[in-house]
Formats: sequence, C-alpha cells, structure tokens
Amino acid sequence: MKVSHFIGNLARITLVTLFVTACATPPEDPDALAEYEEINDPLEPTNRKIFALNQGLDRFLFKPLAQGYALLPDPVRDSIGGMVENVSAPVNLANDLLQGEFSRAGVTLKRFAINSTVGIGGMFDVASRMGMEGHHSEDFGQTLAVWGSPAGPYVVIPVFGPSSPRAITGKVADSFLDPWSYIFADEDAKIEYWLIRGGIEGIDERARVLNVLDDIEEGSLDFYATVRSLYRQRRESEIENGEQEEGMPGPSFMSQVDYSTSTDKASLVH
Amino acid sequence: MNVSPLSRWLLLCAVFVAVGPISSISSVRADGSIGPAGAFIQDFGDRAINALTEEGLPTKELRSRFGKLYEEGFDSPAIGRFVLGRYWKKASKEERKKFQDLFNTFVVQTYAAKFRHYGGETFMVTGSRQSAGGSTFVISSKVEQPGGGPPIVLSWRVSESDDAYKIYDITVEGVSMVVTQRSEFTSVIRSGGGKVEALIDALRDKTTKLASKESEGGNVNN
Repeated sequence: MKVSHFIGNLARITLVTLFVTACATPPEDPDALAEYEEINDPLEPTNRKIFALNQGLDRFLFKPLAQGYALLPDPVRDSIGGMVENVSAPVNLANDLLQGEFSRAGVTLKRFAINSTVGIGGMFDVASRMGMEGHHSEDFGQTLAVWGSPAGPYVVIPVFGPSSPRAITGKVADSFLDPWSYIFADEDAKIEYWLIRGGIEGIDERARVLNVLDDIEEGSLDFYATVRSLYRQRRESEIENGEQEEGMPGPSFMSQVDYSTSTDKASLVH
Repeated sequence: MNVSPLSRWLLLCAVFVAVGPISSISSVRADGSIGPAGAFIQDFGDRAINALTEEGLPTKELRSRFGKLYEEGFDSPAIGRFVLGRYWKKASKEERKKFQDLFNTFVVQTYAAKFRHYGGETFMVTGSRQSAGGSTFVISSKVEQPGGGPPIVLSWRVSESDDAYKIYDITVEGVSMVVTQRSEFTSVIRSGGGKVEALIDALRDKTTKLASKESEGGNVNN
C-alpha cells in the first residue's frame, strides 16, 4: 500500500470538509463581537464534529493503548520517552537557535551529545544525572510565534487534535528542519518514520495525562470549550518558555482582573 | 542516502552555536525571601496536602475538607464573578446568587476529586512578586512528586485586603484555572442562546450527578 497516497487522500478529504461546512457568522453586538474574536473559532461547528470523532478514536484506540503502555515498568517508559526526546533534539536545537535562545540551545546540544553516545541513543538520561537537566521542546510553530506571527483560528485536526494554522505550518517546517527525514531517500520510508515516531510520541504523551484528562472530563460542562482553552494556554506558556511562572505578576492576566475598583472586584477590563 | 542537506543543516547549527555565547540570556530569579504572602501560601499548601492526600479518605470527607480550605483561602465571590465573564453584568440578582451557590458546590466536587491521585508530595514556595499597585501578589511554587519525575510548577494569584490574603487563581504549568473555567462557562451560555439560566441548569445537573458519587469509593492514591 502506498502510504503517501493514503495520507494525501486523508488531507484532501479533511480540507474539503473544512471548506464545505458552513462557518459560524460573526455577531453584531460589540461585546459579543469582542468575545467572538477572542475565542477565534470560526470553524466551531466543524471543529466540534472532528473533536467528537477524535474522542471516539481516543476512547477505543489511543486511551487503551496508553493504558497498556502505562503498565510498562517506569525504567522502560523512561527509556522510550528518552529515545523519543533524543530523536527530536535536532529539531529542538534548530528552533532554539532560530528563536535566539542560545543558552537553551546549549542545553539541547549538550544533552543530545551525551545521551546519544553514553546514553545509547537516549535510552539512558545520563545528561540529567550529570546535572544537565532542562529538557524542553521547541517547534517551528513556537518559532513563528516568537517572530510575531499570530496563531490564527482554532482548528481541530482528525487524529492529531487541537491546532492552528501557525502550528500546522510549524509542523511542516519542522519536517524540513529534521535531519532524520533526509536520511530516508524514499517517500514511503520517510512517512513510515513520521508515523512510527508520531505514534510513539502520542501514546507516551497520552499516558502521562491519563488521570488528569479523566478528571477534567468528569468535571466538565463543555469538554470541547475546556480543551480549546487548555490547548491555547499551554501553547502560550510553551512559547513563553514557562517564564510567566517565574516572572512578574502575569501581565496578561492582571490586565483582565481589575482589583482596584471595589464596586466590581473582578470586573473584566476588556 | 542524501547527506548533503544534512551536512548543510549541521553547518548552520555550528554557526549559530559559535555565535551563541555572546548573547546568552540568563533567567531572572526572585530573591530568596518569600514575604508574608509567600508564607501564607506555603502554610496553606502544606495544610492542603496534609488534609487532602490522606490515604483511604472517603469522598465525602475529602469534599468536606476541601470545602473548608476553599472557603478559608479563596476569594470565591470574585472568582464567581470572573468566570461569568461579560455575562455577570447581564445576570439578574437571583441568577447571580443561584450561580454563586452552585458554582461553589461545583468547585468543591470537581477540584477535590483531583486530589484522589496524589499522596506523598512535597510543596515548596519558590518566589514571590508584588504587583505595581501593591495589593496583589504572584507566588511561584513547585510540587515535588514522590516517584521522582519533573516537579509540577504552580503559581498562585493572591490579593490582600483588610490584612487578609485571599487566593483568586492558581496557574498549573501555564494554565489558569479561572481563565479555563470562564471559557467553558461562557461557551455553555452562548450555546444556550446567551442565557445565564442555561449555565445554571447545566451546573445543577452536573452537581446533582457528582453528588451521587459521594457514596462511591474513597481516595485511591497511586
């Protein structure tokens, strides 16, 4: 089977679905319009359908796989996670550099050098034991954000889940930044590499949030809206490299809650 | 095998790494002192972990303990207003009252449940920052997990009024609890035709459903 043909068809079907399905129409009331723009989800009706499809896939495929994976002994999972991290180090490094984050680039480079060799392809995190901690992931979508490109509307992609035009562009660019993809001359081998790597990464990530996601879904009135908000905030935090946490009183948040007016203590400023 | 783009890529990296150290940026650290607001959070966090992660705690008792801590440490009226977003202004007095009551119940039920999976964690305040105005603080902290693994980064938004500190938001790994809650609640109101009543109904159904879980199994620490 030609894997590339299959992927091509899937992409075509998705695009057609996205454009054929009606978009939500922007409201006229200024307050409602501001809200509409903040949510930035004009494809919401379609996105919700794809989200429901993904939830089905998760229930019957990804979650059971992740639950099985979670049963593996800790050292085995750590090794798998470590190898995945190591394989993605070149892309991380390239993006660290493109964002001008040179000290982070140094960390990525040192960890990659040590874990690839002494750590046998990332199976053992020797670098952390030597005091070189600080694994982080950077992708070209984040680089674009640092360069000032807006995320664009919220998009839910079949199988892959929440995304944005910026993140999708980033994924494509990352495939060009990835030296491993140049090692496979043949298209199908390249796609198989992406599928296997993406699959392992996905299951590893899903296994880490088994309890967390169950709790969130149980306590949720509108799981779609919750996931949209979680995705956006996580992404924002990754772009800022989590510095908001250690830094000044979150300027973006403080601007939203006005505590100076005692009459309406938590009034929304914008 | 096509190696020439690969070597070009490596060369590009080498150039950047060579230029790197000149402009390397060191991260800004908070000074050692955490101040009275930080001390308040350290004490509150320690007590919360002790009270809520006890093994075999029945759901009813877990919720009751969480409820007391929430009432004592959090500015629940301000949180309730914030999560209604622009619909707070539109809500009638009765709706506001009904919403606040249901919301407090909802918070206790859903957030207490999150402690079921914890046990043996240690909590440490790592820094404190004061806003320009002076009445609000951001307290950074981390939770070390017993099985190793990376610490969870939490930051607390605290306001000071009448010499008492009140928490009005917790951010976990960059995700704000109140912002997430507001997006969800306003979405429920929008799909309900812009009526606050739609959210109140949904909250009533949810809290009734979750209340029945009280009789079910207890704390399942892992």
